[in-house]
This record gives sequence, C-alpha cells and structure tokens, in this order.
Amino acid sequence: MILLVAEHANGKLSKSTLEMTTVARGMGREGAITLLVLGSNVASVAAQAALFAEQVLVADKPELAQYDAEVWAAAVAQIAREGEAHTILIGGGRSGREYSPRVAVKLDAPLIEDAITLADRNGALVAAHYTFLSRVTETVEAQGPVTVVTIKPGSFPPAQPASAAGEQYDAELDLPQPRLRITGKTAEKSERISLADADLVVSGGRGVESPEGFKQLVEALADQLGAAVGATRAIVDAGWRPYSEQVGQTGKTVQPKAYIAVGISGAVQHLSGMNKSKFIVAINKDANAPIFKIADYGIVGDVHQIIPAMIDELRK
Amino acid sequence: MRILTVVRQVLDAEESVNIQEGAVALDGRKLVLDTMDEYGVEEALRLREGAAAGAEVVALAIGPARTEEALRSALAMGADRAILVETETPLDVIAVSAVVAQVAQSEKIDLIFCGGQQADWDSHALGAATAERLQWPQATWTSLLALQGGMLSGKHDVDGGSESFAVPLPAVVTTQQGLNEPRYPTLPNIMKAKRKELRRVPLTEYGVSAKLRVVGVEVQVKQRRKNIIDGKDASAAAATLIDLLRHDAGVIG
Amino acid sequence: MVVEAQVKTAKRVTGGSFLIEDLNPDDIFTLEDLSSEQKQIANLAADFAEDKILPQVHEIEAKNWDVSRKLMRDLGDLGLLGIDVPEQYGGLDMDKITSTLVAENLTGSGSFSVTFSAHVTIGTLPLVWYGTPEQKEKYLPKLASGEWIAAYALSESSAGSDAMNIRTRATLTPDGKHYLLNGEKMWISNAGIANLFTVFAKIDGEKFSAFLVEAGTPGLTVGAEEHKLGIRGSSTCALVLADCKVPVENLLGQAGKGHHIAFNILNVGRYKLAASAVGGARSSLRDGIRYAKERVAFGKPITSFGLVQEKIAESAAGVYATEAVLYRVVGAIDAALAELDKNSPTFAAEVQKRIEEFAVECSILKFFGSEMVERVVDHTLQIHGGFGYVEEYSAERAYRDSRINRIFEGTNEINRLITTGWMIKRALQGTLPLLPAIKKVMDEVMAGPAAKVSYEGPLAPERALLAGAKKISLFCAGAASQKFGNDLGEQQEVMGALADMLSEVLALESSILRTEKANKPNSIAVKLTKYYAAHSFRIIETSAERVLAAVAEGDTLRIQMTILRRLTKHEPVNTVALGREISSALVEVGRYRL
Repeated sequence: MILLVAEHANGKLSKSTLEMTTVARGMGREGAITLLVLGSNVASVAAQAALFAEQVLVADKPELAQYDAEVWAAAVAQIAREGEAHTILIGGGRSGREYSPRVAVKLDAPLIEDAITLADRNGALVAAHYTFLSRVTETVEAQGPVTVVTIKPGSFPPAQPASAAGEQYDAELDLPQPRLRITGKTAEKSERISLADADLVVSGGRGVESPEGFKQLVEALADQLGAAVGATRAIVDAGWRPYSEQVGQTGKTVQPKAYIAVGISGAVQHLSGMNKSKFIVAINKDANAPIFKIADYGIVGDVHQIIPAMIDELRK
Repeated sequence: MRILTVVRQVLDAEESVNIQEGAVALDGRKLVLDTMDEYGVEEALRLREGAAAGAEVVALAIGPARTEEALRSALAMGADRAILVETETPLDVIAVSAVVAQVAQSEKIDLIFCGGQQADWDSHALGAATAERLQWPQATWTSLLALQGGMLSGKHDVDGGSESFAVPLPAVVTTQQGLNEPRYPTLPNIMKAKRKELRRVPLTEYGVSAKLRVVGVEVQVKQRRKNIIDGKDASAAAATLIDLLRHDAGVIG
Repeated sequence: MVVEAQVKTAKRVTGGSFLIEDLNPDDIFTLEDLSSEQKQIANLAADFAEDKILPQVHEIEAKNWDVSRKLMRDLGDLGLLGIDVPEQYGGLDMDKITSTLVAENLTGSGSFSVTFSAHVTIGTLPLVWYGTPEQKEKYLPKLASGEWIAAYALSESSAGSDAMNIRTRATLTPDGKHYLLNGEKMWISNAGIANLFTVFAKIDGEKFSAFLVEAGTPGLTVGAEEHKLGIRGSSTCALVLADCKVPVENLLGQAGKGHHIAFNILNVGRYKLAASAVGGARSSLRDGIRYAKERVAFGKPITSFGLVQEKIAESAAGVYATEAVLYRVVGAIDAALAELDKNSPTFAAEVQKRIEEFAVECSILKFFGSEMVERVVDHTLQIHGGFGYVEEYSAERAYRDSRINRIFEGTNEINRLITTGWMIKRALQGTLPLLPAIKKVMDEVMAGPAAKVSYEGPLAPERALLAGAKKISLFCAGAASQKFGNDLGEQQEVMGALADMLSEVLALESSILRTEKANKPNSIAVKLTKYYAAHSFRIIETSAERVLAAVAEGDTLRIQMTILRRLTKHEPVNTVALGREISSALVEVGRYRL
C-alpha cells in the first residue's frame, strides 16, 4: 500500500494532497494508492478523495475534529502497519513535518523530509530535498521496507482525477488522548491573496523605516500589483507586521514569479525563504546589501522615492 | 529539575556554501552554535533563573570533535555541563533522535529544548522524533513559554496561524524565533566555562543505525541577471524597472 | 578570578632584540595559537560588532552620542571594557593578547573603534597603573562598566608632537586643597561624551603632571565638535581650562613624573592601533573582494583581471605580515609580564618597564599598521571605481576614517624617529648588544664574500633574504653611526630610512616564523609570506641605498654599494603568479581567510 494522509480544510482536499497524489502515481512503486482521511464531518472530503485514490480510508470522529501530533501519528502508524504500507506520504506543512517523525519512529522507518523529487530505484526510495537553508540539493536513499516521506508543497503538479472512483472504507483506530491542550487560536486572516498562492510578492524590510512606511510603500505597491505582502523577520520582531507575512527560514517559503524586496538587506535566513523565486527585484539604499547578489534587477536608491514613483507609473 | 538543550554546530550565516569531495566544505569555515538551538539554551537558562530555580541545564551535541566549540558556547552562555557524543559520520535525524532519547533517559531529563530547524540539515524532525522515542508530548515552533507547577504553557506556530497551548512535563519543546533573545556570553562566563564538565562519549555507546544515506550533494546556483540600476533619479529608475518587469521578465501586463 | 596569560608558546625575549637574535618558530606567539577561550572572546567582539555596531554605523556617524554611550555600556556588561582592569575594581585582569583580540575584532565603525580605544587604553590605563587605591576605587568600576566614559587630554594647539612643551599650568591653591588648571587642550577624543579626563598640566609651569578631572568641574569647558575628514562619529573637541578646580586627591601619580604616564601609555596605544588597523584592513579587504566578485566589466567579474588581483594580493599580504608582527610582539610582552608578581607593590611600575622594553616594536607596529591599512582601504576604494567615491558605499568612509591613524598616537614621523632613536640609545647604553653585532657584520662584509648558508623548507629563499636583511640593516646602522655619531638624531631622513629597514626586518621575520610554525607547506600562508618578502626586501634595498648615499661618497660609497649588492643578491620570485594564486584563493572564500 502507498499510504497518503489527506489534508483538508472547509470540506475540501488541499492542493498539497493532490500534489502528493501525483508523487504516489509517478514514483515507480507498486501498491494501492490509499488516501487516509482523518477528521470530523469529512464525508465530502472522503468523496473527493475517492476521485483520486484507489482506496480511501476514513476515520470520521469528533475526537479527530482537532489535529494533534500524537493522535495523527498513532492513527497513521496504525493504518500503515495494518495495511503493510511500504511508503507513507505526508504533506510538508507545519503539522505534517511535526507528526511524520513520530510515525517514522513508531514504524522504525527512515524519514525523508520535504522531498522535491521521489522515485524508486532498485527497490530503495531515492529523493532530493533542500539543505543548508535551501542552498544545497541533497539526494538521499532510504533503506528498509518502509519509508515515511513529507512532500514539499508546490513541488509537484496537482493530480487529475482518476478514471474510476476508489472504494471508501471506515478505519477503526485506537487513538491516544492528546496531551497538548489548545487554549486559544489566532488564525491568519487577510483579504489579500496569500503568500502561498501569489504570483507576485512585494516584501518589506527595515529599509521602510516604520510601520507607516510599510503601509505606504509595500502594501500600496502590492495592492497596485495585486500581489501578496511579505515581511522580514526584523520587522515582524519589531511588531510592525504579523508573523503570517514573514518570509524566511522561520517563516514561509515562497516561489512566486516575481519577488520585489523593498528595503531588505538580504540575510541568508530570509533568502532561504525566497531564493527560488523566478525573478527577484530589490530596492535598497545600501549598495553592499547581500540581496543584490541574488537579484535579477536592483535599484540602489531611496525606497521612499522609488516605490511611490513605481506606483505612479503603474497607475498610468 | 533537569533540562536538556540539544545543540548543533552549523556554518555561520556569512559563509558561502561550496561542495568539496561530495559534501559541503566545513574545513576552515566559521562554524557556530545554530541560532535556533541558541533560543533553546537561552530559554533553559531563563527557566533556571525563574520558574525552575535550581534546575540543571545540560547541553548535548552529537557530532565530530570540533562540535565541542558549540558546546563551549552553550557553557559560556551559562549551561551547567555538556555532553558530546562523538561521531565523524553524519547521521540522519531519526538516528540522532535515538541518541538524544537515550541521553535523556540516562540523565533523567524533565524537559528537552531543541531548535525548530537547523541551518545545515534544514530538518524539523529532531524534537518530534525524540519525543516519540520517549513517549512524551511535544510543542513545536514555540514562540512563548512559561512553566508553572509542572505544566508548560505558551504559544506556538501551526499551519495558518498560531495557538496557545498547555502541556504537562516531561515534554519536548522546539523553538521558534521570537521565543527570546539569546544572551551574549560575557567574558567572565567564557572563562568560567573552561572549568565546566564537558563529557565526551563515543557514538558506539549507543545502539544507533542510520537508515538514510546521502548519495548526492549539489549547490543550487541560479544565475541571476544582477542588473543594477542607479536610483538617484527615482522616476527614471522606477520607469526602467517597470519596463524590465513587463518586457524582460513578463510578470506584469 | 585571575586568569593566567597564554604564554606557554612565547619565549621570554628582550624587547628590541629582533635585529640581533634569531628565533625559532616555536618561540613566538601567533594567531594560530589562540586558546579556545581567546577564540570565543574574539568571536564575541566580532559578533557584537556585526550585530550591534555595524547596523548603527549611520547613527554613529551622525554624532548620535546616545548610540555610542549605549554601545559602551553594553560592552561594559559583557566585560569587554575591563580586560586590563584589576578584578577588585570590576575588571577581569586578563592578558594583553586577549585585549588585543578585542580591539582587533570590534570593527564595523572606525569612529566607534576610536571611542572604544580612547576609553579602554589611554582613558583607563593611566588610572590602572598610577592610581591610588582611593582613585581606583572611585573611578575604575565606573569605567569598567561603561557607566562612565574616559578621555585623555595631553595635546594642545601648539604642542602635539612635542608633548613636553604643553603650556597648561596647574597652581596649588593657598589652602593646599586644590589645583587650579589653566590652559587649553586640543583634539581630545571622547571629549564630548567623557565623564572623566586625564589632563596633563605643568605644576607651576615646570612639573609635568597628570590630573583626574571630572566632567562638569567648574572651570572646565568642552569646546564644539571638530568637523573632521574622518571618524566623524568619534567625539573630538578642544577643552578650555579656566581656573579649573581639581582636588589635590586627583593628582595622578607623582608631581613632576607625568611624562612617565604619557610615554608608557603610548606604547600600549600604539600596538592597539595596529590591532584596530588589522581589523579594519580585513573588513576593507572583504568589502573589496565582495564588490569585485559582483562587478562585471568586459563581460567578466573584475576579479578576473590582473590589476585587481594584484590589489587583493597586496592587501592580504600586508594584513598577514601585520598580524604576524602584532601577535609576536604582544605575545612577547605577555611573556615578559607573566614573570611578574601581581601582588607586589611595584607591580604597576614593573609592568610599564617591561612594556617599555618593547617601545621599538610598539612604535614599529604603529607606523607599519597604519600605513598598511591605508594601502588596503585605498585599494578597496580603487576596486570600487566610481562607487568607491560616493557615500553609499562603505569604501568611502573607511578611506576617510583610516587617515587619522598616521597622525594620532604619535605621528608616523615621530614613531620612526623613536624606532631608530631607541635602538641607538640602547646600543649606546649597552642594554642591547647592538654595537658588537654591528661590528661583527662590518668585519664580516669587509672581509669579502662569505660562504653561502643554505636553508631548508618552502621558505628557504625567504630565510636567506631575512639573513641578508638583518646584515644590511646592521651594516647601514653602523655606517650611519660612523658618519654622524651623536648627531645622527638630526638626520631625520636617514633615521626614517633606518626605521623602515628595522620594521621590514621585524615584519619579514615574523611572517616567516608564523608560517613555519603553522607548518602547512601548500597553504596560502606560504604564498602570502613569499609575496610579502619580495615587497619587504625591495623596501630594505631602497632604504639601504638611500642611507649609504647619504653617509658616504666616492670610493667609500663604491665599496659599500658593492657590499650592498652582494648582500641583496637574490633570485626574484614571480610575484605576478603568486598574486594571482593568492587572489584566487581569497576570492573563492569571499574574504581574507587562511
């Protein structure tokens, strides 16, 4: 069995699940492609999953309404054992990357993290992934009968529905009690297009000089271009922007068609979150700023003059 | 109470990445205690200075002999003692977690800190894998932490936002930026660290087998155009830039 | 917690003996000998510079004193201001190598480096060495913590190099409780932010003495900030003293003995300046390499071009040689100080005496280091082309900032005169067996060509050059003394040329010893040493010719030139090829890195 753990929100399968399905189909291993749907009131998700997988295992319980790392790990490991899964694919979001190691330990299996390629080579799974803050591509080979893999979101095209719908089965699970109690939630909200989905990102750093500067320069340019808004760690730390906008090692990783860096110096931790963008544009008054080393187009100048000039020009 | 902080020695952010003999060259480069792990050391020290007064802070690293310097940095920040599990061969994170778990058990640890991610293997997994081995709960990407009566509470990042949580000890906590600001080691503390215990143990003391091996390493170099424009005349520069984006790059209509 | 100096690798040598003694590589301290703690301390300073100083460089340049004051307090919290201060007064009492490492690594802002050095060295050391327990108790803890900033007020508008001619007077009040100071001081670093000044004045116009004067003392006025070419973020003001009322308890050291303070402090200030120069040169070289890698001309990054590679190689060789001299000298000073008993009542006096032994080396480090960093920042500016001439790039600021190094802490002219002057003085006093050494060389060279000595190892040719260089220097010193006798001091050009020879001997030897000690035959260090040796030997040759032509003529000159040609004969090294190899290695790593 090739076991995929479905990710879903608002009754729909996530894009990353469809990307994982592409991986499952193309990696060159035999086995029923099985989507595991965990959650509460997930009938529509299960039905959608059946369009893509050969079989769908559904655990639809109130206890699964809220994600928990220990619960998910127990569920996935149990299904993997019972189904004799040789490959377990999990989405590379925050939750996937934090429960997949637990699954790997439970199954005494190797873990491949954030894979951008995955293929069977003479019975062993070989994958490429980024290391050294996304500056190096490392290829690894897993040994043993079972491998757990997290798939980097956005690295594969989403799968098309299969020609025939798969069977749905109920999954019986022995679930542990979660020990991490959630006492409050802050969700990221924005009317703007999200960093993950945007083709264009306008991002700001300390060079914008103030929260107002960020609004007048970064937000204004982003709105003019219909782009997403990003921020560096420095200004998120300073409280000028919410963490949801942070791009970098400890924030989000983006690969838009164009990334416009406004007043950003280019610390390597920030670069690791955006250096795969197709085009990088940087505006900074410091000619020595490291960002200019990875920019396709750069202006050495005052962002307070250049960005408004760009906005004016775009309005024409 | 005893707190374990796991640290890794990585290339300094300033250093460029070059491949030599099938691996990233580290010889002669500046190597530092990873910043994400530093948050862990700092948080452990804060707990010792506050809610967990009297706790012992033990720093642990698994790596080659030179990793001692990273442990010395942790000791210089204020950790009480350190353990270096020496191995010349790089290990994957699942294998490393076996060592961490065994150390945690033999040292009777109540709380483990490690970085949410490190700047060499880019892995997010060490904390979670270790927690599973110990059958402990975990709080990953933690940006705020407090301890009271054996219960940890705080804030951590999840997909699409953040959550406040409470979890009982013993537990594994992985760090997120913003958790604290790591202290510089003061000069007196650098000198005091010289006399703190740093125990070296060979990896062979732990039954660990790696199931993942590295078969290729390549530096990703995307050729950038590096078209630098002088920005003194703001409107001219802006116009040039927009033109390039429109016609050269084709990203705006 | 008193920490022992890291002296196990440095041999106790007599200051000034480098010309006549041949050391082994293991006898000297090198940067490669740092202990783990010393490396951590160096990293602490470097990290602080990167994280805290560099990002605020523009505020510092804009004379935002609060920024500098806060940085000093932060450094105080880390213990970095108290390295030379005794523990009981809030310091750490550590070795000179450690304090040198801190000065070297606290880069990022030339202005702030001066603020720091002026406080830590000339601002604090007078008190450490000459203060009474009461004075130390009162002021040192505040200086070590950074709560108070110190300044050193010696120079006046008409008394710079001739410091003994200061006109500020001190007169005891009739009740014997205060001194009234009258006069002015000029070019006082940190004046605008200092809380404590060490002011030099002559009691009754005669007895040269030092006084501790607190800011805000009635009669003390701090003038306006000077508008300087460089180090604009370092406070530099004149002081006006008009019946400035200083309590008698604040006389520092003995009345009439203030010149000891002035001169002894300068020795430390001079080698510290070389440390800052090394740090500044490394940063500048890194900027130059970084720019050259990115800048494309004729379809290639300019690192591909020979005339750029040459600048990188020259800069790197200069840094390497200065590091070699600096750590050799400071290591030797630490070795000399390690023998002392810290609890002895004469400890401070002994410390200074031993440092003074190395006055020649300290003066050499001052002019050698300052001129080295100037060449480096000049090369870096040139590499930047037009961009090096505008304020957006740090190359411009570094260029302006470095110029002061040839002027303060004793002009380079004065330091050259001290170098040669002190060597001769010791020779005449017999404290250094220079005269016998000169005689030996004179006899030897007059006797005709000597048997060739062969050396071993990758630096064998350079060792031969060094042996020749020492002989040439002794020979020229001898010839000059013979010609001018006691009037040699008036012949400043000859003194200057001799100083150049002495400094190159020290640099060449230190580089060779450092490289041999590290023992890595194919390393960049070997190439840097060879590259530097070629440059160094040319200076020695040229200086020797200048000296001989000034002291001899006719047949005597002809004979001496024959001797010189014999002693300088060598096969030239391909510095073009070497320069390219050096540059290529450094460009790959992106900075000066061995």
